[in-house]
Amino acid sequence: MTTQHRLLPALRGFALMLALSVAPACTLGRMSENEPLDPTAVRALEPGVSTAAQVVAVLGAPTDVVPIGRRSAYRYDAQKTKVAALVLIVFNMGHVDRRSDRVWVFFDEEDRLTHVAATFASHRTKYALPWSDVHSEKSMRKADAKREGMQP
Amino acid sequence: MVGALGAVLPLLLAGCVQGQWNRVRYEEPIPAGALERFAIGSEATAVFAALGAPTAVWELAQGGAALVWAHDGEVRLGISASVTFDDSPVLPSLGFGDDRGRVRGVMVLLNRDFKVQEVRSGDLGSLAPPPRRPSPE
Repeated sequence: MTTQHRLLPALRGFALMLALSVAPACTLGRMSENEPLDPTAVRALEPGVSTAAQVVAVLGAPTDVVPIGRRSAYRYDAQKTKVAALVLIVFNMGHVDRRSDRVWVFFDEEDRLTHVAATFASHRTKYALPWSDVHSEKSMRKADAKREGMQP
Repeated sequence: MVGALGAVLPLLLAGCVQGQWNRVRYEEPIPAGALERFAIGSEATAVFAALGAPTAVWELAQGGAALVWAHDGEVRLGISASVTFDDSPVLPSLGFGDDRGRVRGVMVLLNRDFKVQEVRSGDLGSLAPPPRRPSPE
């Protein structure tokens, strides 16, 4: 057996190890906190008419209650986070996108609803890399079209 | 030979030199033109229609409420290097990073009648939040 033939298996092994070592490792992760809020249920709340008891019956227990003088404010929220990472040997890239559904309802001193503030964005969360534009109008409209209650 | 060296060099460097490009996005930025849709004296309803639900709400010491909308678009670029000396118990490490982007946001102060009293925007850390009403003991 020539020296060349003896080295060939070793070179193949080295090449395999090298390929495995430099192969990019892609990681995806998703985290959720609380159930997404229902846009249709929130739109059904009527300032001046709905009471705190009715709001709680529809939306459940709030995440937070803030007293504001004789008024009070209840917060409801749900978050979704998507993480994408590309782990190379000497250079790593990562992207974290976290967005929320958030509703604040404000009540007067008689516990009657006065204001509703709502944001529904948890469904717009995307897997992406650092240079991606995840907040483009087109991207958000596309995501909105897929979520019930978000259509105008 | 040069090709093999080029392939092996990253492996050797990986132990002491690493670069990174990370981006963290928390929440969506304030929509363009949203702050022009209300003014001092506007009802809170107009603020909510323009900005959606605030990130945080608290009662002001003088009465009324502070509302904050926050978003973060931090980009971190960096390179770090570390070298180990045989006779040293510590691992010296050199690094630098470029943190672009901070937590930005809008703060709207409402008076007791829930009308806009003041609007501040920019880096959240520099907005000087007004004092909260202390919690009852």
